[in-house]
Amino acid sequence: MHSLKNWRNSLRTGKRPGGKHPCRKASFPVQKNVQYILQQMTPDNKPIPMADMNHLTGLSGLSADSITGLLDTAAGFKQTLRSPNASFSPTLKNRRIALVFFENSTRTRFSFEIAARNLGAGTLGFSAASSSVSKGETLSDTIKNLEAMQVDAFVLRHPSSGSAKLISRITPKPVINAGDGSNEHPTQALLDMFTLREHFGSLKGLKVTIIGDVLHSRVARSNIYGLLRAGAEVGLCGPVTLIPPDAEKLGVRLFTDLDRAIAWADTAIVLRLQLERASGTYLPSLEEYSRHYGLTDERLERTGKHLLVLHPGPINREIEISNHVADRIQPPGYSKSMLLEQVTNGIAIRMAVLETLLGGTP
Amino acid sequence: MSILFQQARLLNPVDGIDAIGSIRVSEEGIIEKLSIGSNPLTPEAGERIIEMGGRILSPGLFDMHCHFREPGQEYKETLESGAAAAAAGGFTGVALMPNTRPVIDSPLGVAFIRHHAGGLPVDLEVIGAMTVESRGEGLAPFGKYASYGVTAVSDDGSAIQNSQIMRLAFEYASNFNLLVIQHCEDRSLTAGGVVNEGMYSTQLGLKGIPDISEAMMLARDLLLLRWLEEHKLHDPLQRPRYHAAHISTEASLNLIRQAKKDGLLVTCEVTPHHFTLCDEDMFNAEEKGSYIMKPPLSSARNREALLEALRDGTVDAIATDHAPHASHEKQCPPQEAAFGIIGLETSVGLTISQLVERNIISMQRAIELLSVNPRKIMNLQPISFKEGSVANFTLIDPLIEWKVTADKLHSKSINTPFIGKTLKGKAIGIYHKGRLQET
Repeated sequence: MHSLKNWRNSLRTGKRPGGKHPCRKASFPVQKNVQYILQQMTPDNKPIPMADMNHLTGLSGLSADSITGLLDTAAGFKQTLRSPNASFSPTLKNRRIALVFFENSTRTRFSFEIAARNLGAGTLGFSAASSSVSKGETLSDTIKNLEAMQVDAFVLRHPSSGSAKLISRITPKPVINAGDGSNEHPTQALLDMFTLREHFGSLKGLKVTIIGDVLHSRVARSNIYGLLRAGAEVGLCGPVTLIPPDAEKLGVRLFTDLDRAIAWADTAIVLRLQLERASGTYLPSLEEYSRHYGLTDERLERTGKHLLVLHPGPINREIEISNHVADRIQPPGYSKSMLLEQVTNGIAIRMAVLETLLGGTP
Repeated sequence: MSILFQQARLLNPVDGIDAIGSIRVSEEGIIEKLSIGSNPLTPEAGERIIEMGGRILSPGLFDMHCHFREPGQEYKETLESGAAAAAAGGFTGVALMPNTRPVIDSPLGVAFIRHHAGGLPVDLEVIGAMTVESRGEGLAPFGKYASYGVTAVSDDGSAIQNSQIMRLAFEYASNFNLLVIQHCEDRSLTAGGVVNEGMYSTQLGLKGIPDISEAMMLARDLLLLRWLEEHKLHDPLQRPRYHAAHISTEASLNLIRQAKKDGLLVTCEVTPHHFTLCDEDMFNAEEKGSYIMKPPLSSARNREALLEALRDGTVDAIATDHAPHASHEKQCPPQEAAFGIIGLETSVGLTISQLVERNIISMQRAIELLSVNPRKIMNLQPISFKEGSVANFTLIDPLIEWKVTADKLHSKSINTPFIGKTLKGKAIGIYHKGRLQET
C-alpha cells in the first residue's frame, strides 16, 4: 500500500517512485491491455484474438482478428438500429459506465451514452469543469474514487496523450479511450473502418488518404494503426509542417500535393483543422490552408475522382472541406459524403466495444 | 533592325563556350545566328553592327541580393533608379529583398513590384518575406508566393531568431519548393554593435559585432537542416534548399564546406565589399559611414578566407547586397549610421580587379558567380547562346580602367566606399528585353 501511495504521489509530482510499478505486484490481476496482447503473440506471430481484450486504449497493437470481431459485432447492432422498432437485449443491465470527459465533446459523449443505454447500462456523466478535478485532484485519484463507487467501466477523454493507457494500469475495470491528446481515438477509427468496410466490402488493399493536420490528430493515428492492420494502404496528405516526422516509417505514403493524394486514393478521411490546438503557428492562414488542402468539388473534378469522403467532425466548413463535398450524399458519379452515416455507425461500434469488454460474466 | 555583335569573346559556361565569335540578334530579341571563329559574319542590309573587338559577351549578369527600397523609402532608391543602376552595372536581372515598407509579405506586395517591373530594363525577381512583416513570428503565405511565381523567401536584414519558427519555415518552404535565403546573424550577440569586434572597435570606442555571430546562426540552421533531412524532408518530400547570404567569415565558410561535403543543398554568396575590404580599411577611413554594413567588414584573416573560398569553389555566387541610404543617414557618427552600401555599379569592376586580375578566379568562373549560379540557385531559366534562344547578354570590357565618381552613378544614393577608386574592368552594356543599352 505504501508503494502505491508513492506511485500516486509520483503521478502528481511527475517524479519516478522509488520502487517498482505497484500494479505489477498484482493486488489485482495483471492487466491485459492491447499492449499486453501484442506481447502475447503466438509463435506464428498471430495475435491472440479479442477474447483477451480487457481495455480499448488504442488500435496500436490490436490484432486484425480483434478488429474484425468488433466490426462484425457492430454490423449486427447496425442491422437492429436500422429496423423500425429497434430494441436490443439489455445485456449490460445494471452496469454503470462512467463517462469521464476532461475535454469538450458532443458527438462522442452522446454516442457512448446512447450505445450504453441501448444495451441497458446506466451512465454517469462527468465533466472536468464541475468536478473535483478543478480542486486539483489527480487523474489517478479521480479514477480510483470512481472505481470505489463500483463503477463498471470507464470511458475516458483527456487532453494528455497516454492517459488512457495510464489509467488502464491502475484500475481493473475496462477502460475505453474516447480520445487522449494527440495519441489515439480508437472508436472513431473503428467507426471509420466500419463505414469503409460497409461501403467497399473489404478493407484489404483499399487506398485511404488522410488529409490535414495529421501531426495533432489522434483520429489519424488510430486510423493508421487500424487500417494498416486490416490490410488497407494509407496515405497522409497535408502541409509538411503538419506531417509528423518519420511518418513514413509507420508504413504510410506521404503527399504534400492534394491532387496527387486524391488521384492515388479510393477514399479520403478529412481531418479537422484543430484551431484550438495550435495548428495556427504551423500555417500562415486558414485561407492558405484551404486553398491548398481544402477538399472541394473543383479539386475532385480536376482529378476526376469520385471519392468516398469521411470526416470525424466537427467540420470547419469551407476550410478543410467545402459545403458541397460535406453535404452531398447523392447523386452517384460525384464524391459521396459519409459524415452523418459515420455518426450512426459510431453507435453500433461503441455498442460493440461495450458489449465486447463488458458482456458475459460481470 | 537586327544587331550583329561582331568578334566578341563569347563566354557562356551554360553552353561551355569561351571563344571568339559573332552573334546576330533579331529585332524581336532572338539569337538568329551564332558563329564561332575569327571570321566575321557578313552583315545584312540595314543591320546595326557592334564591333566587340574581343571584348566579352556573357550571359546577362544576375544580382540575387538587392534592396530597391520601393515601396516606402523612395528617397533612397526606387524600382526605376535601382533598375537603372543595375543596367549600368551590367545586370539584366536582380532579386529584391522584401524589407521594404511595408514588407513584401503578401501577394499584394509581389503584385506591386511586378506591376512596376514591366517597363524597366532589367528583370526584377521578388523574394518574399519568410515571416509576417519579417518579425520572425508567424509564417508568411508561401503557398501564395509560389502560385505568384516567387522562388525564394528571406527575412534579410535579420534572421529568424526563434529556432522553432525557423524549423517551420524550412518545412513550409520545402512544401512549395522555395529557396530559403538566410541573413545569418545571432541578434543576441550583435545587438547594438556597429563594426567588427576586435582591436579596431576597441580603439574607436564602438560597440563591436563578434564575427562568430554569423557562424553561430549558420550552425543552428545547418543543424536544423540535417535533422529535418533525416526525419522528414527526404523522398518523397522535397529536400530543403538553403542559401547563406553575404558570408564574411572563415568559420562560416568552414561550416558551408562541411555541409556541402555532407550533401546538404546549401549554397552561399559573398559581396564585392567583403572580399575587397576589411576592418582596417574602415578604421583608416575619414568618413566611416560607407564602411558600416552588416555583416561588418571583418578581419584581414576573414577576408583572406573569403578569397580562398572563392578560389576553391566553396562560394557559389557574388551578390552586392546593394543597400542605398541617403547622405544624412551615412554622414553621421558611425553608431548612428544606417547599415549597408550600394554595389551594383562597382560589382563587375571589383570582381575583375580583385579576383580575376589577381588570378584568384578565372574570367569564366567570374561569369559563373555573377550570372549562371545565382540564376540556378534562384531556380531561374539558364541563359543559352544557342540559336533560337532569347538574347540576354552583358557586354564587358575586362581591360578598361575607370574611376568611380559619384556623379556617374545611376543609383539615387552614393553610399559606397569606392568613390574615387580606380577599377579595372567594366560592364559596357546589356542586351535584354530586345533592347541594347550601352553605358
